[in-house]
Amino acid sequence: MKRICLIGDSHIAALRLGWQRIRARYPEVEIDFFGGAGGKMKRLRSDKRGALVPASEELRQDILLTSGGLDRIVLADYDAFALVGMGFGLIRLFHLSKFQRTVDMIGTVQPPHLISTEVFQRACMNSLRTCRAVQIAREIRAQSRRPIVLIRQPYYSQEVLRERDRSVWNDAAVAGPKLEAEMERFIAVLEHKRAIKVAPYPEETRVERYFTAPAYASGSIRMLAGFDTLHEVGEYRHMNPLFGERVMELLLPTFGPGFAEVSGETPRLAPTLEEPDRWTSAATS
Amino acid sequence: MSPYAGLPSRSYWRLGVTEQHPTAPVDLYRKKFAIKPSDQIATAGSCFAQHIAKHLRLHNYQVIDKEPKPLGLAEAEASKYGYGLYSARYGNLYTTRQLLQLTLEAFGEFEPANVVWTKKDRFFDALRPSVEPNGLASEREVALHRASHLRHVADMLTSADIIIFTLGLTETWEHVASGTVYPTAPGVIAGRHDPETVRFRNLTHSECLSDFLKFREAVKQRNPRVKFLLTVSPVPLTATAGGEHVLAATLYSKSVLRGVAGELAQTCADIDYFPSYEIIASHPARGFFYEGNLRSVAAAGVSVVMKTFFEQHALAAPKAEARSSKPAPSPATAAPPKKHEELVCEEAMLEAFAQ
Repeated sequence: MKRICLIGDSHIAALRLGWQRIRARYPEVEIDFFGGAGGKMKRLRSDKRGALVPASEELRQDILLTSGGLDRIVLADYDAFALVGMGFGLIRLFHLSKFQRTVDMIGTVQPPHLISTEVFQRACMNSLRTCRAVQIAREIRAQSRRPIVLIRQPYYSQEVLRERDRSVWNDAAVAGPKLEAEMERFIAVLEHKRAIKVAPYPEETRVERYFTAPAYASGSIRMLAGFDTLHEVGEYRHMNPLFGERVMELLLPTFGPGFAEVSGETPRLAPTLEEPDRWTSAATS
Repeated sequence: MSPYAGLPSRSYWRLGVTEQHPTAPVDLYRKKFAIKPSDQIATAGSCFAQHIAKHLRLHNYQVIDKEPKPLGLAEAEASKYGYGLYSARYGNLYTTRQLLQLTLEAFGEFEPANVVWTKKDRFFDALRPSVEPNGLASEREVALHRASHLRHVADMLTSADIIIFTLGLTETWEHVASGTVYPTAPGVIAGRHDPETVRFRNLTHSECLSDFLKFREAVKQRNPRVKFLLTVSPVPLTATAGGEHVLAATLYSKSVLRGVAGELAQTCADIDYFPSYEIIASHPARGFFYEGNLRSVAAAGVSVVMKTFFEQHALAAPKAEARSSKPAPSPATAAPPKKHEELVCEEAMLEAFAQ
């Protein structure tokens, strides 16, 4: 049996529900979910004795709810860790580009500020480095050599194009490629220096490259007791359980062979990440 | 009855200076006009002006920042790219000529020449070369960045209630054909020195005075309510290209600027002068406020300058809480004491050319 610890913000709801749909295919895998809605995960602290603990009652309640009764994350209890959302993803960089762009990122709207490529790159790297997901991953890495995988925050659904201030999204195709390049650069550094991997993104969920198709967005569920409360109409940030299912299917093989589906089928991901020695060697380098 | 009878202590050297401690000058400065909590303050000038902007912000004054640090960029990195130093990203404006030139250019009344300098395969804005220390990718990119910058400068000048300008130098480098001046000589950060194209120029009192008055007129045409507060930087020249000894050149430069500031403050009701130069550089301070190089101003000196300033310009109330969830720093905690506060100062790079 492999135990996975999955930490995240409200996006964890889709993953938790998606996991329920497919868990029968993974009898050797057990997952504990630890969620904190909004920015509550900022209050997750290391107790320096091998556990991550909530430093606020609000977060504690969220963690109790999502984990089904646990109120601390004992790192030694898990064979692998995954972190979803919490600022990690291209969405964060899109928000940066709302106010500042390089000359080759100008689309239909003149941004308030032009910045140089050098400044832009530094801003992107720092922004990703300081997001909560990466901070928590680094805290775990400091205490555990087990695999750690980050799951990107999902692309917004196309509903976002109905927003009043949508200039950044109208220009997504212009700015996106440069943002993606910075994201990939950061991921390479993260993998090389910290042995922290990033799960593949479910490509079939994307439309117009930087949005999520309605089939994977509509019907998203809030991270509330019962996990049966729909988001309001017009919600574009959160995805539905079908999206969560796709994410979880890609996540598990990223950890390695012991986490694969027991169905006789070949895992979707090429086995390039399935080198256990690399986790430990890079983590200690 | 003598006209000197009954004057306040500040009017007598013994009472105003000899018997006062240089770290606690008494009644040295009396404000000409108040700065209201709601006033929008623009800052510009030579390196020393960075201290003023920083401390005003720490004391909750509303210092304009038209080109703020990009989201995500770390504070420590931002100043290396000219962010947060002043109210827009123009870098150091050492001379009155630079100030005038930038203002007229922002208002579309001046077109500088020879704006793009190169270094290897990189392109620099010659009028603010330090804001992109590694330059930009093309001449076109420099032009686009400059156009964007000028829009913000124009916006700053027309929205400011108070413009604080620190006069730094009289020495400058001038494009012979057009009169365009640059903050550094070609070849220091980028570009190549060609004496036929760019020449050394030491501005006179009348030129500095005229420059500032033209600047004032240009701004007031668009922003009649604006007022000005002048200071003179106590930071000596790192080097002079004028042929004189650097000490004499420094004293000339500072004397001219002090004279200009004094004349402007005496003759214009909307111009105040704050004596930071006197606090740091005059002999009663015995050089205490300088670092070992007798050039950089120590944090203790900056502290006395700002304390003297805030004694006259203390805000009645801290910045409204609605503007920030962070508690307003008290003067005691606002500026943690450092031996030396880091400044971005391209003029200091001239030191590297010393044999």
